[in-house]
Parts: sequence; C-alpha cells; structure tokens
Amino acid sequence: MVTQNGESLAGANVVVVGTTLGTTIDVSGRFVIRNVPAGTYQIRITIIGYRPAISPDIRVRAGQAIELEVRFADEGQVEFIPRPREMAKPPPTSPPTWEEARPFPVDKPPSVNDIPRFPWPPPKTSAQAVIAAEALQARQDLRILADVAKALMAAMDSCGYGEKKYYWIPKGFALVSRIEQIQADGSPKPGKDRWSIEVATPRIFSLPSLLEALFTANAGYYRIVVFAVTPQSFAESDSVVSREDAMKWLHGGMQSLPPSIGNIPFTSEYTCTALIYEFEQVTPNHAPRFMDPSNLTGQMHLEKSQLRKALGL
Amino acid sequence: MISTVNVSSARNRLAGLWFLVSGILFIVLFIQTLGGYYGDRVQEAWGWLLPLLLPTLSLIIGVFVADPLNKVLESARTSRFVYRLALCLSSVYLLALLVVALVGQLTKLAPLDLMKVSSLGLGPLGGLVTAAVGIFFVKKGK
Repeated sequence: MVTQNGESLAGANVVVVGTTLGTTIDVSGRFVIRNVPAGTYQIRITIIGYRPAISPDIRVRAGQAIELEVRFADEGQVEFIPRPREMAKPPPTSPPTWEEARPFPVDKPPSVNDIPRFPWPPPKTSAQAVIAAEALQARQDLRILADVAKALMAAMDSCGYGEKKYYWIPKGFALVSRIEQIQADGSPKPGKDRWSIEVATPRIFSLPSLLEALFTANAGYYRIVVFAVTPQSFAESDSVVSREDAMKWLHGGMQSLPPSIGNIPFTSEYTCTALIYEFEQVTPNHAPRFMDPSNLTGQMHLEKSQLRKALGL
Repeated sequence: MISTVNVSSARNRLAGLWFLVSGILFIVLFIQTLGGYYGDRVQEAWGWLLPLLLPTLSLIIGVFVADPLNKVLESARTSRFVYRLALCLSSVYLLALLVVALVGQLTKLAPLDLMKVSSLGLGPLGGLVTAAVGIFFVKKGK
C-alpha cells in the first residue's frame, strides 16, 4: 500500500469489517490477513492524517486468496484493486512425488520442529560404501522411502544397533547409528564394551595378552554408521567432526521418519550410501581423534559389522 | 649391644638393588615407548620416572666413582636396623615404581594419570628413601 507519492504507510491499521480480524501494514507497505472465512467483506484502513478508507465488498471463496492493492489517489481518493488467486491444491491421496509431498522447499528442511537437518554436504568421512542401487531396487517391497527406512532399521536391529535417529537430507533421509566401540579389524567389541565410550581395561587370559597389556597401547576405536538415502550425488565437505559432536547426532534426530519424507516414492534415482565416521583413541590418555582415512574400506566396515549380510547384499 | 653390619657390604647390597630395579624400570619404559604405550606423550612418562630415580642413583654412582673399592669404609660398621630400614624403604619404593609403570592399563586410571597421582605419594617417600640410603653413602661409619 502506498501514498500518492509512492510512499509506504507502515503502521496503518487494517481491519476486516464485522470481524475481529486485522493487522497493520509493515515497513514494505504490505499486509496479510490469514484464515478469513468464505464470505463477503469490507476492509477498513485507518491512517493518521487520512480519513478512514473502506473498500467496496470483496468476496472471499473457500481456498481462495485475495491480493488487494490499495492505492491513494489524488484528493484523498482511495482505490482498492482486489485480485483473487487460487491457493495450493489439497494434498493428493495417492503416494505423492517428491515435489508434491514436500511441505518445504527442496533444499530446506521442513521446519526446525519437524525433522532436524543432518550436516549437508556431510562432514568428511573415514570411509564410504555405496550400496548398489540395483540391490535395493531389486527388492519389490521397497516402494517408498519409509520402506527403505524400515529395511535399514531391521538390518541395524539385527546387528545390535539399538538406537538410531533420522535426519533430513536433500530429498531423502539420513539414519544415524549410536556410536560403537570396535576392534582394530572393524568388528564390534563384545558385550557392553561395544557401547562404552571409554576404552575398557584389557582382559588378561594368557601370557601374550598380559605382555600386550603391559607393554603396548590399549587403543580404542569408535564408529558411527550413517546411511544417507538421497537421489542427489554429493561430495563431502572439508569439515571434520569430533567424536563428541558426532555423538550428539544421536540426541538431535527423530526416532521415526515423518510421513512427509517417508511417503516419497523410492525410485531408481535413489542411492543409499553408508558414511563411516571412525575415531581412534591412541591411548587412554589421548582424546579420540577422527580417522582420515580409516584403516578399512567402507565395505569392510559393513562386512565386519554384519550390516552387509543383514541388508542382503 | 647393637647389632651392626659392615658398611661396605651394605652399600654394595643397596647399590645392587637400586641398579637392578632401576635397570628393569628403564627397560620397561623403553619397551613401552617402542610399543606405543604412551603414544606421543613419551616425555611425560620419562619425566615421571627420572626425577624419582636419578637423585638416589646419582648419589650411589657418585660415591662409587669416588671410592670404587670401598677402601675408605673397608672395616667400618653401622647399625643393622638402619641398614634394614634403608633396604626395606628402597624395596618398597622401587617396587611401587615398577608397579605403577607396569599396571597403568590394568587400572581405571590411564597410565599417565596413574603416574601423576602416584607422584603425590612417591615424591615424599622418595625423599625418605634418599635420606636412608644416603646414610650409607655419606656416613663414615663407627
């Protein structure tokens, strides 16, 4: 809304006559009144220094938005120019395409409260393994992303990964495992040592193990597996994540995949990439440091963690 | 009558104990260093051991260098109690050093943390040990 000189009238009151709906004009000269029920209304604009201006009847239909241009003409005349516009279509009943399903722009997460965003592009990894798209596509039961998530969850469950969290990544999701302690060869440590974030005291069961405990470092290795399911190809960023920061991923994500992402069809464009974040604690006196690169390949990590077998690859 | 021991032989036994255990300690730390036991913090481990050993070792070595054949104290004698006290204190002290150096990874504390904590007790004990051993290496005997 502008004056005859083209100046905006920030702060002017705008009221839908006969209702409690109203607002003020912002610094850019615009105003928005939401949730106006269908019907015929007049708009009253009150500005200091001007007589109140009342619009002619404006008809509002269900699902319709009205763009109302208000122009102050010469001699105090106010001109209202309504322009009806159709609003977005109601949600489809069949599985939507990504573009239809997303309640937010492709490159932005839905909202802070909907699903947290995984750092993207992903921080530097220790190793990666691309799970052959054909292998997943061959599974007839994987129709939408929720099916893929379910398959990944089942595989991780069978391998003992209790806690997992979902994050948003472009056009897909990331599934983050809890940090686990592994042996140098990539196999998980047995028992509760696997989920400890401190290197366990060596167990002495033979002379060699005693000598090893007395004279060599009791190193610790930690691993976080992140499955990234997205049709977008990506490169790692240069940022290096610390073990402590990576552990926070388990606290920030969601425990289930929201339908807004889960209902997206799983097409041949999608790939599933296992991002391996490995950390080495040289001695109990040292802070764990990110391994770049890992001593093992991504496929070896999947093999040793049994995930490869659990995924039927 | 006070039971006595020959100062020269007491010296030799104490020196033998110190050289033997110190040698073992040096070898242990050397192997641990090669085995990556302390990672890149090797200096901290050696920095713990050397101040606890070298004062007494220096004293012993200095006296032996000055009087290699113990001729000055060839017939001197000293209290057996004092000798046993020095021997016991030395044994306990050196054993404690050996245990701390070896069992670092078998405790809840990390090796270097255990060394730091142990210094609180080993420091004062080391002072007592040096004093007790010093009697035999500075005292002229009865």
